[in-house]
Formats: sequence, structure tokens, C-alpha cells
Amino acid sequence: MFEAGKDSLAHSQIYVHLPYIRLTDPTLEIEYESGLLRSLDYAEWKPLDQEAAHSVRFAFERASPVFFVREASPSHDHETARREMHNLYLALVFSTGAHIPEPGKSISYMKTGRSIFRHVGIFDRTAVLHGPTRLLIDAATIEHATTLVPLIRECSLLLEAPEFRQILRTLTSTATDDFHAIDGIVSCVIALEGLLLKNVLSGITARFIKRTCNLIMGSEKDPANLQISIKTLYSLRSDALHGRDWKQSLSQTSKTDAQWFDYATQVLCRAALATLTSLKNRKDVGVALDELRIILD
Amino acid sequence: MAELSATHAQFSPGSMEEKWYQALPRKGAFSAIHMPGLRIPFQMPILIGDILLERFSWKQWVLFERTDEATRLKLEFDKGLHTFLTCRILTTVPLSSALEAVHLRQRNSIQNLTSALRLLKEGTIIDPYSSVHYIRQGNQIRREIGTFGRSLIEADLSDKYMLDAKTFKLLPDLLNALSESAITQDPTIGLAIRSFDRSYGYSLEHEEKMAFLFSALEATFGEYRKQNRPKPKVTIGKAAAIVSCSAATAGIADFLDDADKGKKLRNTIAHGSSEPLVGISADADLMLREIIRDGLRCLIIFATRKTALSTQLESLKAGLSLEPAKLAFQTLLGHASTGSATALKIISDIQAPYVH
Repeated sequence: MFEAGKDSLAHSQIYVHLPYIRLTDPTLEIEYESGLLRSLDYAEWKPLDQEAAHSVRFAFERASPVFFVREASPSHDHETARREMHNLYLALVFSTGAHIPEPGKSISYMKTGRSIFRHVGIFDRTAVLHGPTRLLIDAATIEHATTLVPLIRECSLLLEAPEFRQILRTLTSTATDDFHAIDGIVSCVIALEGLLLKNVLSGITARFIKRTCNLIMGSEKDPANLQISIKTLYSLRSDALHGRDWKQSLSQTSKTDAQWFDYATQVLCRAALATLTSLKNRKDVGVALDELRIILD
Repeated sequence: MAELSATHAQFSPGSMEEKWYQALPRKGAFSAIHMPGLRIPFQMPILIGDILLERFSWKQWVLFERTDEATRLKLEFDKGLHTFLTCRILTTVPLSSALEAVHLRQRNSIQNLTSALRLLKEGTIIDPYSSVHYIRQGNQIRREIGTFGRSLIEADLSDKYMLDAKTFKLLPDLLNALSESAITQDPTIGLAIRSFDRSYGYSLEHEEKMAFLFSALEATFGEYRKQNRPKPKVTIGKAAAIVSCSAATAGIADFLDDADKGKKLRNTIAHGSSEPLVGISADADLMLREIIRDGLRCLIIFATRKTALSTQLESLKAGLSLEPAKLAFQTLLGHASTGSATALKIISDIQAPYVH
């Protein structure tokens, strides 16, 4: 949804909101791609949203929303800034495994002369004013995430493949505040299956466990239990999808459904990163993914 | 996610809104939760059991909403004909602190109403708790903002749900059934209802909705794989067709059991395949939801009548009346599919009021 309004501010600037994210210290300003990640003062935000911003000062200041703010230029328009933020968002998710939705679901503004263009996502202003907070960031978090941005840019073709589109959709969709843990587990495992199990018609569970373990073993903190953990994720997915009482399977583990959801998201992020790293130079995406699947057996 | 403010009520003397306001309790609180997508056909409040549905005029909405926000959304509000589930609370509630007690009292009613409406016919109703929930006490107002907040006031939802006379007539029995212990104490039926409800998620993509629908399908009718189904083993398509209230039962069995249609769609969704689906209708989700709607509603009513049906169930299979409700239901479908007159009679009695 696009909106346009008028304002008397002279500078051309772009503001992209990062939903469900806050700064560890609201006064921090973190440089990123010739812009800044920072919280806005209410006085700075109010003219951008005019009547929608009227009399919500308390909620805005309590939520302390983080925006990516940069000067607009002919080569850096609203869409470019939103793409830049999308890349940083992916890098943040891949590096932290946090449940944060993509910036496109919230709001962004472009102030050009007296005009203000707004791109309003499905959250409208709710995430700006009410959060929730899922990830606290500081300069070190961004510095670490930024190391992944070149890889993400390099893999633009791979990220357009259906398997990766499903992964990205899952990561943002399951992060939405109304998503339940068990549904998040199911979605993450389905996305992993999409990546790793093309054309596998029998022995699905065993193949899923083997390929997932082989793909992420390098980044695993607890390799001794990796196989059991992946098997549990698949059992929870199958119970929920087959309409069985998944809470019975859950009760036989030492984790809550929320903890398993966190784990499923981390596994999906690590699998995605490992695949991107391994296939970054490939242009024949479909063939490359097929070869990777065979190597993982 | 709460906002607090104070607003004086200002209505034109003698207006409908002023009379409505005067009738509110002077002491205690008034709660209103937005039901996104639900439309009621007239301005008069509708009472269903202890549930009161009201279509607010913009002037009534202003009583709860921030004035500036209500002004901004006046056009959308008037166009949307928004329905609220309202509740008069006769005791004073602590607006500045957590309102769990007030919410809990309403939460089950709101959830059951939402589920029951969805189980009766197709139409868009979004989870009310993802929208805005108001509590007004004197001139003080507390607003609880859900995930999508006021965007659901602005949203141009397609296929809104009109509460028509037939649905209104069927609603009380289904609401009662949903609140019976046979349902509330049975987690396996709860899972089927939950998956069905989750398929209405506002922000979900098509594939995600389909994943919830296939979960609800198996949670209602039993597993897709025939060898995992209770005896007498019939395919999931045949089991679903037997409880369908539509005339096209053969089409249902054909769709669900065909390896290139429903079965392929299910496997594609459940295993995350990106293979393009050829020959499957784009509105397969609506068909699937209709199949689940008929089956799940039948399961719910069957579960509440299972004790009363024990003689007939025992005549089908010794010990069947002692099995958990869902297993007994799936076994019943098997017997009905293989021509048992007793099983068919039980199902037709349950489904009679709902046949199109």
C-alpha cells in the first residue's frame, strides 16, 4: 500500500523501519551502507506520518523503533534502500536465528522536498508503535551481520530459486507475532525438506536427517546429539501434519515447543547459509542444488 | 501492547448513539473486540447465548478509539460495516494493570464464536485478537493492539462473512457443542479445530494455508496413508465424501484420493516441493476447506453425542463406544463407507440441519 502526503521539510531522506528490533542503547547510531541505523525522536517521526502519528508519543517513545535512515539520491531511491534493508535483514536472521519479520511488512518513508511517500506493509504502524521486541542490536551485532551481506548479494540468483524463496518466506512468516511455536516448527522443517529432499519418494525421514546433519555439522555446537535433535524436529512436524497429538512427542523431550521452534529456525538458517556458501559461484542453480543433495548422502 | 487514554462521550441529543450510550452500565466496564471480516445484516445488536454482537456506527467507535485515529479512518470504518463482540462488565476492572481476568472470561467465547462461524460456512473472519480490543470504564479507555492492529479496520478484506438467518439459526447448537467437555477436554479434536482456524491466518501465503488445511484434514479424518487408518480401512477420500453436505461427493473422493490431485498437492505442500502443480484447480483450498468444514463439524457433534450413541456404536463393533471420540468417529466413517445402515443413519442425523 502506498500513501503520499505533504510536508515542509527540505531534505530528501529515506526511513525504513526494522520491525521487532531495538537498539541496546536508544542513543546508539550504527553506520550501515552510507546510512545510519538509529531510533528516531518522536519529533522527527511525527512529520513523516502526520495524522497517524498524532497523540501516540508515549507508545512511540516506549517502543523506541529502529529505522535505517539515509540520504536519498538519484542512485539510491526508496526501492534501493528497502532492498539494502532486506539484505541486512537476511544477514541478521541468518546470523542470529531471531524471529524477526522482513522490513517490508512494516512501514518506510521517503521524504522528497515537500512530499512524503510511504510504503505501508501488513503491520501498518503496529510494529512501530507496539513492537514486540525480538532482537536487541548493537554495533557488534550489525558488524557481524554485515560480514554476510556480500554473500547474500553474491547469491541473488540462488535466493530467487523456489527452494530459497520458500526459506525466506518461512523465516519472515513464522516470525510474525501471531505464529505459534508448533506451526513454526512445521514450516521450518517443510522449508528444509524443500531444500534437501527433491524427488525423494521413500526413506524420507532417514534421508532428511542424514542430509540435514551433513549440511550443518560444521556449525553444530552439540554434534553428538545432532541426529537425535533433527529426528525430533521431524517427528514433531509429522505429528502436527498428520493430525496426531504432538504434545505427546514433545513431552518425551527436555525442551518446550518454543525452544524447539528456536532450534528449528536456527537449523534452517544454518542450512541456508551453508548452501549459499557452498553454491555461491554457481549460475546453474537447479543443477547445483541437485548435486549438493547427492553429496550430502 | 496497550494504550490508555480518556475521552468524553459526545453524541447528538436524541441520536441512536446517545440512547445506546445511556443504556450502558454506569458502573463497571464495557468491552468491545473487533471481529475483522464479520458483518451482521442490521444495526440492531444480535444476542447468541451470552454473546452480543453489535455493528458500530463511526460515532460509537469514536467512544473507544483515539479521536485522531478514528478521524483518519472514518471513510474505511463507514465502508467496512464493522462488527464488534461486546460485553458489559458489571464490576470495576483495573484498567492500568493487566486485564488477563477480563480477557480470559471472554477469550473462550470469542474463540468458540470464531470457530463456529467458520465451521458453518465459507467467508473471511480474521482472528479477533490480531485486531483491536477496547475496554471503556467511565471516560477511561484501554486499547489492546493485536499483531495487525488498526490495519484490519482499514483492510479491504475479500469475501467478508455475512451472518445470515440460516447461519444464525445453526450457531447456538454448534457453540454449545464447542463448549462441552467432550470437546474442550479432548486435545486431539482441539488440534483439528486449531489447524482449521489457523488456515484463516491473515498474513499467510497460499502454501502455508494449505499446510494448515491438510493438517486439519488428517486430524479430522485420519491419516492419508490407508494402512495407518482404523478398520474398516477406507481411503481418506471415501471417508470425507461420506460426511459431505454437498451433492458432489464423488468429486470429493476423486480429488482427495487421486495420486495426481489431492494426494500430490498434499505431498507437495507437506514436503516443501517446489514442483509446479499442473491440473489442480487454483481454488483447491476452498474445496479442501469445505470438505474439512463438513467433516470437522460432524466430528464435533458426534463427540458430544457419543455416549448417547453407545448402543449403535457397539452394534457396529464391540468396544467402539469406549474408544476415544476421534478414533470412534473415523471407524464410524469406515463402516458408513462400506455401507453400514447404522453408521450412515448416525451420520445423516448429525448432518441433516447442515445439508445445502
